[in-house]
Amino acid sequence: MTAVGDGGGVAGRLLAEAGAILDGARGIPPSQVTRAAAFVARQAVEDAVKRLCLDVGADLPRANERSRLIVLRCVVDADVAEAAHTAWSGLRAPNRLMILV
Amino acid sequence: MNDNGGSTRTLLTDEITELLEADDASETDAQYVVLAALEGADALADMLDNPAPAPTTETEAPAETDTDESREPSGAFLESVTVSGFRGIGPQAKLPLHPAPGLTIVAGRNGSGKSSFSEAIEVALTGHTYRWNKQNGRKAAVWQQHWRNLHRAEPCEVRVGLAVEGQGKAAVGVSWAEGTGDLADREQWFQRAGGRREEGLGSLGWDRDIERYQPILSYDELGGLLESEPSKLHDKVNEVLGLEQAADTEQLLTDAVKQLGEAEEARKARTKELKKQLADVDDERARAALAQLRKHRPDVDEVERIATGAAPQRGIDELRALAEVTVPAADVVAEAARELRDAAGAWTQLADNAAALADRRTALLRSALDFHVHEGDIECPVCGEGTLDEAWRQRVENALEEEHAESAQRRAAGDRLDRARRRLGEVVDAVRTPAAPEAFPLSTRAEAVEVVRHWQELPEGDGERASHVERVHAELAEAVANLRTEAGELLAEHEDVWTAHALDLGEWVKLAREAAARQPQLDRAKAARDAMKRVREQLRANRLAALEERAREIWAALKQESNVDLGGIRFKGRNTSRKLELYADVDGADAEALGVMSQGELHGLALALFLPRATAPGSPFRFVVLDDPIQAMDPAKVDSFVKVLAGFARDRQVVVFSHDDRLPQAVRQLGVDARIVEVNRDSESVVTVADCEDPTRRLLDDAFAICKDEQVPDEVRRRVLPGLCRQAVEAACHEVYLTRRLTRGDARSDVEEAWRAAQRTKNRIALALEGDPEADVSGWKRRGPGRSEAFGLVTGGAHGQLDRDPLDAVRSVENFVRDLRSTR
Repeated sequence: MTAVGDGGGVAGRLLAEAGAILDGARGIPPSQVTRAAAFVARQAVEDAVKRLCLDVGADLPRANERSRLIVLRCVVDADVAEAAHTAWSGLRAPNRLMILV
Repeated sequence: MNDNGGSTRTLLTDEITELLEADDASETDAQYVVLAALEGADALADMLDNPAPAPTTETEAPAETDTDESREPSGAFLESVTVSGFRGIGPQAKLPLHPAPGLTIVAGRNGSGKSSFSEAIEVALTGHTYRWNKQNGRKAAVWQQHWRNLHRAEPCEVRVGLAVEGQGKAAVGVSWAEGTGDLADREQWFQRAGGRREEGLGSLGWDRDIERYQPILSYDELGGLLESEPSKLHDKVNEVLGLEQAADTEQLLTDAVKQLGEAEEARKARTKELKKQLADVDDERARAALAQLRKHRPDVDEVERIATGAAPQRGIDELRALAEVTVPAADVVAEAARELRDAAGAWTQLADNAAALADRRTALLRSALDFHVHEGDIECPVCGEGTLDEAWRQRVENALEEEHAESAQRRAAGDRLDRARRRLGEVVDAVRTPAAPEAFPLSTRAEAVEVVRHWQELPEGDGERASHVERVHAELAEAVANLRTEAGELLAEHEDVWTAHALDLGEWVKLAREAAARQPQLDRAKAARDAMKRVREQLRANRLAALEERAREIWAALKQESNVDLGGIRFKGRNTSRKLELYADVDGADAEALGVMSQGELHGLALALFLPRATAPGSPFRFVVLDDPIQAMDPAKVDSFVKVLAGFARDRQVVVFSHDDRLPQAVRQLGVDARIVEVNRDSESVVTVADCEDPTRRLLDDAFAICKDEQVPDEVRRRVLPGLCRQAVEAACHEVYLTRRLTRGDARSDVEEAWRAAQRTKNRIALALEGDPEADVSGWKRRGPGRSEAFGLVTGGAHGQLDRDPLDAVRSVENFVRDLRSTR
């Protein structure tokens, strides 16, 4: 989580946005808030993963997320990869959002 | 089958010894007695039979023992479950398992037959299932009638393959006779590799452990555990603490105390009875005995003197004398009377007045003779007519001679009369006034006293006295006889009553002496028992704290957003009121956990409590089987639960049956190393088992995914793939190596140590293929196409040595893994 949260840049802004959506600051209907926040937060995770891979010289701008997560595990850090995997998988099902909060 | 008994006993003995040494309250002798009790009843008896060793100034430390706490008893893994005709499974179906630590998820829809496998394991190992037990639900009766498969009821059997450390392969099973409709008509068996089938599971020695550790837990049962009677929960948790040896030892000492205290208890009980019994006895001896018995420490010797009659008793001697009192016999009395009467008659005849006058005349004549001697012949100075001359003198001396003889006769008669009178006096005096024995009133005594008084009142005159005794004797004899009879009867009655009490007191004396003789042993046994009790309580507190810690960790992982924290676990109450109290902390406030938790939370709590129990170090089961544990579990809890399971799976074989897709999903998403097996049921109850996923497969799938994602730059692909392939091969090697050695019965610690020691991939491949990390595997490599290439990739080429088509390379590794596994 730390990697995602402290990522700054795009990931940080996206995560802040997801938080604002959850807080009801974006005027999204309550029934859609979780789903919308999850969608944005997932983009934050994807951006963070992309950047972490880039940091070790693995530029994967168009690869699918699964590939990026595998690369992350193999060349960056297994724990970070697991955390990212958990977050990303959880965000595919909005009711798992609490994992990030 | 297992040798856990020995090693767990040793471990506990070591722990008890340490606690005993630290127990300041116990004397050295008590410690020795406890150590003897730990060895068993015979050693304890020997120790107590001998006098206590003299206390030394320094406590001798018991012999050094190996106290390696990480040591565990050897245990069993599940190798496979084969079922036919049972529950949802018709034709024979086999669920192969890896007999090694690791997580296996057996997934399948409801009705797929997956739970039938789980129940089959339970039935084969325990002889029953939770569902059969009528106490556990109304469905039990229905279940009991439908254990056979509806489509294929014959044969109806279960076989569970095991890999046992130190033993090798073994199997347990259960089968029902053909055609039987009776659930109980089944045969349970056990078989070692190469051995014959043995009926029952007795030789496994698992009877107690299977109940204690309960390695098979179903959702229903987990729910039921916390809802069952408080004492059951208490017992289940208490059992798992593995203190039975400590409890047995304490029991042995308690029994010894009881046995040694039996004499003292019997003495106390007898004392109580005797106090009650003697309180109503009107007897001097009873009162004296009672006074002793009422003392805190009665004088046993004095009680014995009282019981045996050696102690003085008031009144009893007089009574005894009266019971033997006699009067002179009638002939004696008659003889005395007659003699008196005769003597008196004789005397009367001789002693008349003439005789008296003759005496006087004799005296006068003697004086005259004396006068004549001095004066010579002379006229009689008295009469003046006669002459006192020689003729006179001769005549007078002759006469006097005759009179002297008569006088002697009179004296003899007088003496006789005196004797007769004394004799009669003796006869009369022989009868004394009857004594009055204290505390023994006699109705005939008054009359006897009166008659005796009358008897003793002798009239004047010998004849009258003789007549008196003759007249009164008959009356006297009767009165005294009456008194004697009454006294005799009273004495007999009294002595009969006392005899019973005296015997009881005699028995009491015996008990008291026995109790006194055993007192030193009893004191030693009591001290040892108390020391053991303290040690056991300390031991229980230590173990409970460890269990509590683990339960709290699991609960912390499972609770997620719940505001309930698990507090302490405490044993409360004794005997029928015993229970286990679980405390919870709800937002900082203390509460009893069971009262504040939701159903889902309770379920999590049951898992938190019983997973540590099922995987306790002392268990001979290296596996834990959970059937549908995540029902009613929040999604977030499922993720945490998978992590908890993965934690246990590091050193336990964890098999989870689940119809809930969320479990395999969580395994995949969390990247947990687990094997996922899918169970499917087709028509006619044909059940198939297919491997879906395992750590090796997942790594290979990842490798294939990287190959197939065209958007992954080739340079990244070549950088990542060798590592993935190496990990996949190592995972396969680990599985093959552990399965082979554990199935052979080798100790898990040795197996794992050997695996850890072989750090390079080529050594691990050699270990998997040959069991030797340095073995030459070139022959094996040559015998299969693509093996050498794959070997090169995963051993030397892990860092950028992928110099051919990545997809071909991963395929060769996939084949390499398959070939490796086929050697298992």
